[in-house]
Amino acid sequence: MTTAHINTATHLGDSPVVIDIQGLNKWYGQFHVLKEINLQIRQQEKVVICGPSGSGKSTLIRTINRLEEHQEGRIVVDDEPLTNDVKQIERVRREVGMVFQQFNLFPHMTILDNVISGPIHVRNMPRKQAVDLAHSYLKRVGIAEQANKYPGQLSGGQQQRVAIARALAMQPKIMLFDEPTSALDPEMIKEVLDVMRELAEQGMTMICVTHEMGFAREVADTMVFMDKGQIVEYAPVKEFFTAPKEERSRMFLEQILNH
Amino acid sequence: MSERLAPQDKVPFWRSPQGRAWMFQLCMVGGFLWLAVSMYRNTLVNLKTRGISSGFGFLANEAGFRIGEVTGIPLPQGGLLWFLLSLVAGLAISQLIARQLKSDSGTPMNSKWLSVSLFFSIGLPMLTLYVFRDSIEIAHYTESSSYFMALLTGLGNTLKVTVIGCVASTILGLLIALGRLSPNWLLSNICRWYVELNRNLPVLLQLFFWYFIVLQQLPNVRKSIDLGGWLILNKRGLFLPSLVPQQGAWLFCATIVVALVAIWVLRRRAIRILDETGMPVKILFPALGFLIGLPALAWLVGGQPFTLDFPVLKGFNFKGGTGLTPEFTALVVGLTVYVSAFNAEIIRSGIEAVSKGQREAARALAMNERQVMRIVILPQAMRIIVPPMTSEYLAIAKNSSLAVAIGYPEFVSVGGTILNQSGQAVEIVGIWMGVYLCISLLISFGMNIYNSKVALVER
Repeated sequence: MTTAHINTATHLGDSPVVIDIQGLNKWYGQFHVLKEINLQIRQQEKVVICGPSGSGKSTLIRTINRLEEHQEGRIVVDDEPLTNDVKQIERVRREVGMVFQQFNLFPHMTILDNVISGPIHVRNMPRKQAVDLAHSYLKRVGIAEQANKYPGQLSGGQQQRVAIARALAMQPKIMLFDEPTSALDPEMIKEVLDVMRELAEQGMTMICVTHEMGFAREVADTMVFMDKGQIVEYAPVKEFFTAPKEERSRMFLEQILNH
Repeated sequence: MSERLAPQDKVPFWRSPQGRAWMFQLCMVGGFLWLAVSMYRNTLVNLKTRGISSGFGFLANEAGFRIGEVTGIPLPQGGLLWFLLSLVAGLAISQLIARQLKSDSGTPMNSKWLSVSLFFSIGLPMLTLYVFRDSIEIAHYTESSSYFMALLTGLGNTLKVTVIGCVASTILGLLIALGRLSPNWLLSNICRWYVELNRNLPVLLQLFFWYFIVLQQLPNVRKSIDLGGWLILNKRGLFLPSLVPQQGAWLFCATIVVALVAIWVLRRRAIRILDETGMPVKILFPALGFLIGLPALAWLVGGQPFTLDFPVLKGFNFKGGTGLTPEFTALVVGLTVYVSAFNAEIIRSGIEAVSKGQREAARALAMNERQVMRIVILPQAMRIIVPPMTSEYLAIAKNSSLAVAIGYPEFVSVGGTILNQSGQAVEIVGIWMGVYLCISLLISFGMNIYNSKVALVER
């Protein structure tokens, strides 16, 4: 059952496993969305999950911070098993940042208040320190001068960068990206991908659901291809793009690369 | 051939859009003027043939009828005038401060200026009230009072019901809404049925229900339910001992205000410390200390602030003390229950209208469920809740006139009596409309200000 994945990204060979998913099953009512998922992710590893819509990619990464609960299997994040214990869930969420397709910024708060909301309310950080931290992250994502505006006054790309800064301000060990560029205009996709690229270079552990294959080829260590709730192919990025083993992933790649 | 046609050239005016608009506009104005003039002349002629003099002079005449429930009217002289003056001045000053700060720095006020403006808008009027307490006179309607006084008393009764109804229906509505949203199947269904039952029955029917069915089941005066004189309940109403202010009463009340201010300062300090160091400060016990300690001290220094006046049975009814008449109770309970069903739906839909993504984003930041509600959901729900809630408050103010049906002497009911006695229909109806319009506009005004504070900033 446990097809122990051989991690071929050699530079990660002996990094500790930070996310360990074993025998994960999830149902929506009668519908079996995730079937026997096994996945290990090492520290500093960049994983890109792709697959046709409805294949369970988003659901999978949302189980990692328990936005979706699973019915069977074991998920251990940063040595913390995910159970029904609220405190345990909150501990996991503190170490796992998430960026959503629809940004989900808090529209009633300024950009700055959005970014400091996590550190202040969850990490009990002094306000001044949180503000300094927020400014440094806003600078990193390139929107330092918009700190006092409201989300409604920013473009989609800017909003998504704020969302990344908000997640980073919690100083997480792992970042989850759930189709971060799917709701953006083409010319804004690049500015968001650039921020993610930089984050990857700095050694963040990242799991990213995306259709941006150029980004995946460049940044990812490992590719995961999902279909109908199952992991169909798990391969180092080079192998996946040059010689995919499975027929299903070959078809998917053809479609997505030659459209 | 090369001649250019300007669009407005040579078009007869009845075929140009502007010309047509003007024509219709003129017809409307003419028609309206004709209607107004003919109504006015018709009224004058009718009043003349019936021998009724018009004008508001009759308001000074003696009323001569009894009003079952009398709300005290503070007389517009001495202390009250100073109080109103300081209230208006205080609000104006704090508004000016807010505006000045906003135009100077573009940011809302900090805590120092907030304290200053709070002092002007609340502290100053309170202080005036305290200083001029002896020159405030409260008049009570008697049969020999004027029609004007009768109308004021009716208005006072209306406002009493409106204010209590608004506050109570909001609190009850919030509880019902939270009940409906609860995962507890039984609770959420009970709340659902409460809403469905109450909003689908006419409010007048509900008033009849409370007044004729519920409150008439109470025992008569001789067989009153009596809890040692502290609480007496019978068909005539609910009787409680009343507080009679003594020498030290003002000092006692003043210390409560001081204690509240102190708690507010304490809270701001706790928030500041939380901001600076990240350490939450518990203020419950010091706050309770202030709230109990200071008034207790005032009691020791100034003597007993209030004595109790117990209701006693004299003749056919209880005298003394204070109480609630069944009419008042039925009206307040009926309106509150009816409107709370609507408020519950407004609050529930407001909370549910905040998108699921907001909740998820807050959870992903590791906020706990209470923080999710307080920091993310409720502030956004408020902007959806406030406008329809304004309509419900207006509904309470206007529906309180249904009290005519159960004999509670509010504004319309008193006005009706005066109309019957004096025959001044035009004037009375005019006063009714004018006063309700004022009340409604005041409520809308206040709610609009609040709404603009919670509204979202868009691009």
